[in-house]
Amino acid sequence: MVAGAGAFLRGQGSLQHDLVIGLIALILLLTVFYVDAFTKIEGAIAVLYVIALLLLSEVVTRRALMAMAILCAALAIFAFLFSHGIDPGIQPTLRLTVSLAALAITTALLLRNDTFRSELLASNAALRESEGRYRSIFDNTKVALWEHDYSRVRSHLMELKLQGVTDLRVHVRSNPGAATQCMDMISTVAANEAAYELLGPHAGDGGPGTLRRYVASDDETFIDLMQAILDGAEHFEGKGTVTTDGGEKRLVLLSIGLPDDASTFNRVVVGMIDITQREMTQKALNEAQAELTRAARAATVGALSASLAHELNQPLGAIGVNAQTLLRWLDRDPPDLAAVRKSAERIIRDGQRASDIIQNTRSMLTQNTNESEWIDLYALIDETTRLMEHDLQRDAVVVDIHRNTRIPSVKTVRIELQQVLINLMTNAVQAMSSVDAAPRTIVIDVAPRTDEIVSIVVRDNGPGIAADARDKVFAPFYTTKASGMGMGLSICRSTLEARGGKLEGYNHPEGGAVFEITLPLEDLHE
Amino acid sequence: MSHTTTIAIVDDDQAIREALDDLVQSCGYDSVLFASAEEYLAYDKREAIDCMLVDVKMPGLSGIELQAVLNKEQHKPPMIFMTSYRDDRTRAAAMDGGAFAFLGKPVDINKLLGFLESALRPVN
Repeated sequence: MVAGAGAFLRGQGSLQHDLVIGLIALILLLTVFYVDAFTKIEGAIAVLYVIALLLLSEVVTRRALMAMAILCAALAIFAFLFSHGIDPGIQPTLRLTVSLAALAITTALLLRNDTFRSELLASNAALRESEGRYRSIFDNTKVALWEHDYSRVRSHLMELKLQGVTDLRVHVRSNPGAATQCMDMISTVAANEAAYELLGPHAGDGGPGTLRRYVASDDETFIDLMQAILDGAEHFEGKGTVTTDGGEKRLVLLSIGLPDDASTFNRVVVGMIDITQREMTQKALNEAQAELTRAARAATVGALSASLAHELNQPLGAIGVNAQTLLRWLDRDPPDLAAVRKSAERIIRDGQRASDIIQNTRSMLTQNTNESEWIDLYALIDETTRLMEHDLQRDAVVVDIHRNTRIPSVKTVRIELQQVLINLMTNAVQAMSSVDAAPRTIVIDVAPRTDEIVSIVVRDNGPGIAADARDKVFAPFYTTKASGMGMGLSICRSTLEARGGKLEGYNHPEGGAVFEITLPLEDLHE
Repeated sequence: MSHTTTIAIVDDDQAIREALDDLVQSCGYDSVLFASAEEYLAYDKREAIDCMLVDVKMPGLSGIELQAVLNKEQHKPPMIFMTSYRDDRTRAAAMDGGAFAFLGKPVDINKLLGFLESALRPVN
């Protein structure tokens, strides 16, 4: 009998408990039937079947409940016919109707209740599953996740907003304790494994004020985060510094999804990625780059002084020869004064030339600043060509400057652009030195590409860029020269890129290498 | 002497050329000026040249290359080289090619005149 009953039971409580409830319901059912059918008590006794149904609904399945409801209705009708016969009269019929209606309504309500309950159970299970999944992600991800309760600080910030505070940085400046006050309102809810690894063994400790151990109260990123909450932002990202339990400072990338719903601010997940190492590597890289740029600049200065020495040597040598010749004319008997005058005039002229060279060099060196200025490209190219004159002459290279159109001035750092030009022209000269075919020519072509970009093309008629070198010419430490460091083009490119420009190299269809500088006409980096 | 002594001055720098020209004239010699080796090779009265003052580094043919060309010819006037680059290799090349002297710039006038005189002294 127990096994038979089992088929109808929900099986949620203990079997014994279910059987006791079932038994009570059965006794109640029989009692109601007895009173309804065999006693003369007038009244809608059958309504009381609903009690039995209510009891049974706790323990039996939907089907069994429906079967019981039909049984109850059948018993009520049987009792009605049994006690009132074929012609029952108005009153008993009404009572039966009320009872049957009560049974039907109760059964419907119970069934609906049951539907709701099973739906609730299903959604609870889904919720539990999703919570479990989230927990497992939370615990196992390599990103340090730190759950905080921001609800208090949010209400506080909203109050501040009502008081008219819009810029928290300003507010914090005039209220020095404000940041600490905000920080103390935040408490830690949980921390995952990665967060413990990053921050230390106390990362998950709750309680207000715990955040202050890890974040400096004057931390600007913290203020920015508070500002984001004040502004109702959906997401916050930033770089911040945290101090670990061990007292070590770590640079972290923060990412926080801020909820729309004020009530869920009690569990906000702060994602943190430790970028200390990356930043340090980046810093070392930048330093190396700066060091190389300085080295390249020193090399330029070296080339410059060699060129200067050579240039000065000519007029100074001439002055020496002229002065001694002058003495010889004077020593004649009689002295040839007309020749003396000519020699003296040459000395004056050559002295002036030497002085001009020094003047030019000085004005070039005083321009050695890192400030952007408006530059007339043609003037700069002319000046650079003059500076290179010695190298160009030595290798018998002709420079052909195409002045097609009027070019607007560009705003950039003069010495940097000049260094790039010197580098490209020196490369061109060296590339052509292996070629016997004359004339060795560097063509410099300046032309606006678009309204915003101007291009300076430096083309030689040397052997061009070898096919296997095409991808590598801009790579650091790549060189085709026996004594080259391989930094020239790499530095040129990054120098230009830092100013919003570009440097590209390719071969001209008619032969020779082409290096093309493009510069923005409006310097975006100012 | 059957003819006036003529010195050829081959230097790409005009100031140096003029200064040497004046110096040579102050010594009582004639001079002919050339801005490049090519210009000198194009000169049709090379037979009359008694001595040459030659710059080493010039656009086009260098002084050393000019020496190599002239060495293949009959008439080889003594060559006195002048250069701002005093590297031993160039010096050796010049001397091996039969240079009379190899002087650094700025030129020591007394040395130059001394070499000039001994270059022009008739070989007995």
